[in-house]
Amino acid sequence: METDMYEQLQGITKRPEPFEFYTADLLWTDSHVSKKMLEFHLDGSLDLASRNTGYIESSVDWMTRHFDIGEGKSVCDFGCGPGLFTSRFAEAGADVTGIDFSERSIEYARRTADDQGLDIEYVHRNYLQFETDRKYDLITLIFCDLCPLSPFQRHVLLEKMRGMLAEGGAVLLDVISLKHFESAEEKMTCDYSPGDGFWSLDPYYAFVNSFKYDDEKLLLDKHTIIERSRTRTIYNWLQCFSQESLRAEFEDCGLEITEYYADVTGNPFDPDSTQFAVVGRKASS
Amino acid sequence: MADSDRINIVDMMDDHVPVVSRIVCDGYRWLAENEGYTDEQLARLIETRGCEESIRRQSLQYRFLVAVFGSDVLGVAAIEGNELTKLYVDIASHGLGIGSALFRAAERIIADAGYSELSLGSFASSVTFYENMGMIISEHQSCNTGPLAGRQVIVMRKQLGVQARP
Repeated sequence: METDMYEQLQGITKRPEPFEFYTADLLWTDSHVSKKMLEFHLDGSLDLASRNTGYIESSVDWMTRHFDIGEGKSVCDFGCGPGLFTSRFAEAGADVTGIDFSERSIEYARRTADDQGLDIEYVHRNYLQFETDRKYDLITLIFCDLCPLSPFQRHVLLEKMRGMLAEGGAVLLDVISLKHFESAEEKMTCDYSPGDGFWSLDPYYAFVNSFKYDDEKLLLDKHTIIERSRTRTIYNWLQCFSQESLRAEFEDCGLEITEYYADVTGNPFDPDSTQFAVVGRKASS
Repeated sequence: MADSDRINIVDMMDDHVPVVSRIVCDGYRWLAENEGYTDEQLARLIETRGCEESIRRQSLQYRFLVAVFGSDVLGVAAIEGNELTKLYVDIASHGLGIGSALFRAAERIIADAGYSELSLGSFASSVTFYENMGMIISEHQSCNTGPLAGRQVIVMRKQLGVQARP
């Protein structure tokens, strides 16, 4: 028995290779977890799954001005969640598409669009597998959604975005910076949820092992969720970027970064910030 | 077609073996979940067909191909004669064209070796993928030996030169 527990703890604390395991789907496809994610999205006071309401408002305000969003312009939001950005783009008169892996979020977004009388195309799909012949003036990927992806997934996504850009179109996305990586620490925590916690309706113990991968500038929060009847391990990867490393990935996909900002509200780039945002356009050949 | 033209299909090198083993073992776990293998069947599959030692041993018999992006191995397939086996893709790269790229590379190698037919043993959860690659179900056979003894294998064949569905 003691050996079993020792081996289980060894498994829980074991450091995987970068992107050795991948469980991002679970956040969007597990019924209970996707419900909790949607609650976070819709709580305008929180910054957990989406940005808080004030941030979204100022972000949309800046994007609308900066990219001249309105009648005759098309916008595609990758990872649109419940439509917090897409509905505002549509209100500005743009032709809008939103893609999200969470069926629950997309259903909410569709209902909201119907209620508001907004004509928005919502697609329930893993955006890595999204295919379209349409071209867009602006493609957004907000809340650092590039960072949980593996190098190949990022390459596929950026190539896809490049192929979807209209002439003169732009990609806007934000990422986690090396400042965040430098301040992150390896640690282990254990918490108990008596019921209706983030990971399950049932009571559970949650071990969280945080790992740093110095060569790759990669972070991992490995969650081991132990319930009476099941144990799950969830891997939340977070790739951190310098301006140079992000630029190299863009260039690899035929995109050039034309602008750097502190965030997607258009604040000036700040080297001390834990995040930054970029605008990318098709590289001139 | 792979989503990215940056995927290369190359012969497996010795330093690929640990990742190949991990991808194959993950593939067995996926199959076990979808095909209802017992814990014992899964453990025997991993021990006799998936672990690093067994991959190295099998590489003497099969030609192993790997799909690489930069230095990352994202998928594997093995060929012996006109038979394709062990086609597995890293979980994070599912649905991004890696399996199709590996299949097509293996198909070319088998055709270039002079075979007029490609064959493989599949399971129900993989049949649709192979049908999309132009394979046709030929027969159902029972495994007589090995970790999956007693289970049904779906034998699929493809006349080479026949185009896969676009």
